Amino acid sequence: MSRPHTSIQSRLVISLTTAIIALFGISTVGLYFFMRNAFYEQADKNLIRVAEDFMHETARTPDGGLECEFHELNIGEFQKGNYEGQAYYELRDHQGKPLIQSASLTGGEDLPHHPVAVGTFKTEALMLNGEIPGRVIYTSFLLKLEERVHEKREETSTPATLTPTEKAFADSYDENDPQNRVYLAIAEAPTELLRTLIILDSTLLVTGIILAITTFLLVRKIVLSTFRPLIEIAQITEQMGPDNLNTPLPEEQVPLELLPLITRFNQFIKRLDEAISRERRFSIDLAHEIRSPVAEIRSLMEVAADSVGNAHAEDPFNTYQRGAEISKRMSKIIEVITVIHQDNTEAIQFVSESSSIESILEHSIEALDSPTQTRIQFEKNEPKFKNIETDSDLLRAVIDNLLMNAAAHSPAHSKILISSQANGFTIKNTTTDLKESDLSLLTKAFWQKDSARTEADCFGLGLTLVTVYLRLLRGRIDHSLKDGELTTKVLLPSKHNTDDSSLES
Amino acid sequence: MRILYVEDSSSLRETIGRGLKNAGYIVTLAADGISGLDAALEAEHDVIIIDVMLPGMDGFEMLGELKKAEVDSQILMLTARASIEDRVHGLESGADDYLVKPFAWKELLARVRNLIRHRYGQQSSSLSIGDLKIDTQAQRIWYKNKELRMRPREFSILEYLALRVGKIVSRTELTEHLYDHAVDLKSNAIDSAICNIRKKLTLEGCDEIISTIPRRGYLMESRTSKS
Repeated sequence: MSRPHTSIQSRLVISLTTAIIALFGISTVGLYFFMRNAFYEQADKNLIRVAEDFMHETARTPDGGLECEFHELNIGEFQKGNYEGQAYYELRDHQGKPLIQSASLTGGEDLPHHPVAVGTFKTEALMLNGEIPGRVIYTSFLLKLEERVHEKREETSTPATLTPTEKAFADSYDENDPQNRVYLAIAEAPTELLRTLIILDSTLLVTGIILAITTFLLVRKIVLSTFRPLIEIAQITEQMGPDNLNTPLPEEQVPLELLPLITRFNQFIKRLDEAISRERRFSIDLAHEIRSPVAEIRSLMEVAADSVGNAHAEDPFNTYQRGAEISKRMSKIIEVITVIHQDNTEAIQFVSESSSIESILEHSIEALDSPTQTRIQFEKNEPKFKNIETDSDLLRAVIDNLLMNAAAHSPAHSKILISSQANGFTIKNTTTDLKESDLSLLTKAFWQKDSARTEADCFGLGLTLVTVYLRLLRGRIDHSLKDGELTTKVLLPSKHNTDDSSLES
Repeated sequence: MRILYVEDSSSLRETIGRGLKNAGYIVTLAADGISGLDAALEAEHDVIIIDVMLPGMDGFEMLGELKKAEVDSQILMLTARASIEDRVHGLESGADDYLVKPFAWKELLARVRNLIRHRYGQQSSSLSIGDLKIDTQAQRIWYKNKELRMRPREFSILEYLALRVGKIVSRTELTEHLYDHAVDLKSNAIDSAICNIRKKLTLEGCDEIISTIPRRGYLMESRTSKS
């Protein structure tokens, strides 16, 4: 089951938006917690300050009681329903038994007891009265003796204002005695802080939503503008078909990254268009070449049949003879087309053998008709031809075709010059109607200077066949035109398996 | 009827030319576009058959030149180029018909006859002049449902006169359309053929259908039979 097609553009918009929002989200959450911690830290510091003040203002009286100057601490009493700046406090003895506490507290369960070490502070979050989030600080300290007792005891050995019991208590009081250790817990509802955090929450949430929408729109706009050339190309490509391949993709505003792709694509499309045109042309020409003799032979037979008994009817012998000639020509066309096709499938058998170009040239010349032979001028250059490793039958076919071509397309009594080289030969013949621009078309299948096929034996496949054979022989053919003289130069490798570099003359 | 056939393939030109002659047409043959155009402008032809791929001047060019010269012959393009584009191009350029090679001889002949009928404004292949009926397609003649035997030349004259019924046809016109240039215009070949046609018609009771208009020519008129 194939996966449905997805749009790169949509995927990119979604991915980028998600990635950016995720990054912003993580940063925002980080910032939020950082700020919250900073706020809590500040709140805790305030609580520690309050606790330190509390500890400073709390002492043991000489009568064994406890002195707390609460009014100097400025700790407001926590009132239910009014949490603004209010706090709890609770002081426990070394056994955890409450000594003093806020009036609003009802018992020992209001603030949990944490036996922390002396001089250390522990803070934590707490739901005050089960209603409002607050912060609580725990610490413990050793109760000092009341300041005034302390001072007097040091000034005079027997303070006058103290009773004997008090004096005895003061003298025996050991501040480091664990019995004098007390535990303090102060809780506060940091309403201001909480309000700030709520505002921070809302601000971050709204900013996050706006940021997400803006990011999506921005990313979409950027992706769209980035993808616009690609979309335009896709739209143009969508309209492309075998009949309008001649319209290339626009290269002007294409991004640099796509330019090589578009350039190559255009080159490919151009070649494809040319190939289709060539194929179409080839098919039309092929159809023409086959249809014409078929039409001739069919008409010949049907007219002959229709004319039986007619005084002006053609002599049956002539009819048969003409029919045979047409059939022979058809066979030749089909044979040549088959050979050209076989080249494509690499089915032609190649037999490498020691061959003399000179003798093949001579045999080809001998096979020509007498009037053509008299036009040939064969220059056998020194050094004499050496034998080369090639397929002599294919080479003979190449030479036959080239000589017949030279004879057919040059004035009736003009000379045809053949000269030799160590690994090739040159044929020169005058031509009256060939132009420089025609040279590239010479080897194209069915191409003839005159589009009409006036010569029954010429159908524009000779040089195509030569090209096919020379490709198999790993040879090369060049045509040049100068002052009305066509020079056809053929070069062959001395050994069949050598590469093209051996053809450099 | 005079037909011009322009074809570069000598074999096909010769075969089709012979076939058309055997069918009773006067045929002029040309091997290339230029000589074909010269022949078309030199003499009036009922039908011109043109191959598209011609040396010198291709068939479409020749067609354009004929239209420019306002030659009113019926034109049949005969070619191996079978693509829709070529057919459309040929017909839009002014050709009256388009036939692709290879073709059946009988089809070509039928199309030529059809074009001739169109040239003379006939919708059907059957011509009726009173009780005389001529089937131009089958080349047969009936008078009161009895078939008459005519020679090819006699049939051609009768067919031509029937196509021009009610109009005077001069000897020159008949000669030009029905005889080769080799025929001497002063000879009595036309008169002799007309005489034979009249005899055959009179034998069946169909007389005075062809009148001689002194110094002007012949006239075929639709008349009701006396019997």
